[in-house]
Amino acid sequence: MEKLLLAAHVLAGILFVGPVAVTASLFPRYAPVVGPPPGRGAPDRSVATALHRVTRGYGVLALVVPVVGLLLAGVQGRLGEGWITAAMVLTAVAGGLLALRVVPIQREALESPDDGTRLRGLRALTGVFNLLWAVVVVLMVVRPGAA
Amino acid sequence: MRPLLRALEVLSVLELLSVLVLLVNLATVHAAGVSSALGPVHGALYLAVAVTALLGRGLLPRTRLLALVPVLGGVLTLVNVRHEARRTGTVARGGSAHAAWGRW
Repeated sequence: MEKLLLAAHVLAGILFVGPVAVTASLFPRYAPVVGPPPGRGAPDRSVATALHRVTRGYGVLALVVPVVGLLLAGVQGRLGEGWITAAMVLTAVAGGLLALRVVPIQREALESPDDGTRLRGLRALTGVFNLLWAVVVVLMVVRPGAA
Repeated sequence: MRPLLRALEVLSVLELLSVLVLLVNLATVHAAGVSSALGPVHGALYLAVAVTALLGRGLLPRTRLLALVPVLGGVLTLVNVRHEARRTGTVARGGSAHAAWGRW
């Protein structure tokens, strides 16, 4: 049971969170802007729309990861360990950031493109999102304070 | 009601229910199984409400801060969601200059 949950947890993390990290990072480059594209931008609305849909769809599927993780921690009797709590808090913040900021801002960028100001903020948010996931993965490997 | 407020409402009801069951269990039979099963669930729901209130767009500072209060967060958020829904309803019906006051 533990091995099955662990496999599902890791597999879902790779298959569902991985694509979101990539599509969310690439979105600002392809999002439509008014005027000349800033930096390395290569606006292409259809690409940006596809990236937005992958970010949203896989973001929903990624809910499997914390749910299975919580079950796994319960089965292993690790719920009282500090690193699990820290990972839960970071995961909640990352998920909230994705669902409540990144995805809505992407939708706005597609519906009413601006001069690129919004996309700069989106790049920063996406960077924070990816950083949070990286920290969670490191926590899962290092397990500071594990019994 | 905006989807954000609806989500916050559902999550805060669940948070409230989970804490009520935990408290009733504590005061009566105090079954260890209930505590160990529902404790983490309540923790996860508390986190979900707190993060949704903190990161959701266009919420009052009061809604954000009171969602963080342990034990009472659920019921306080439920009250605040009602308040937010009435407030945005007023804005939609005609709007007023001070309606956007206090938004982040």
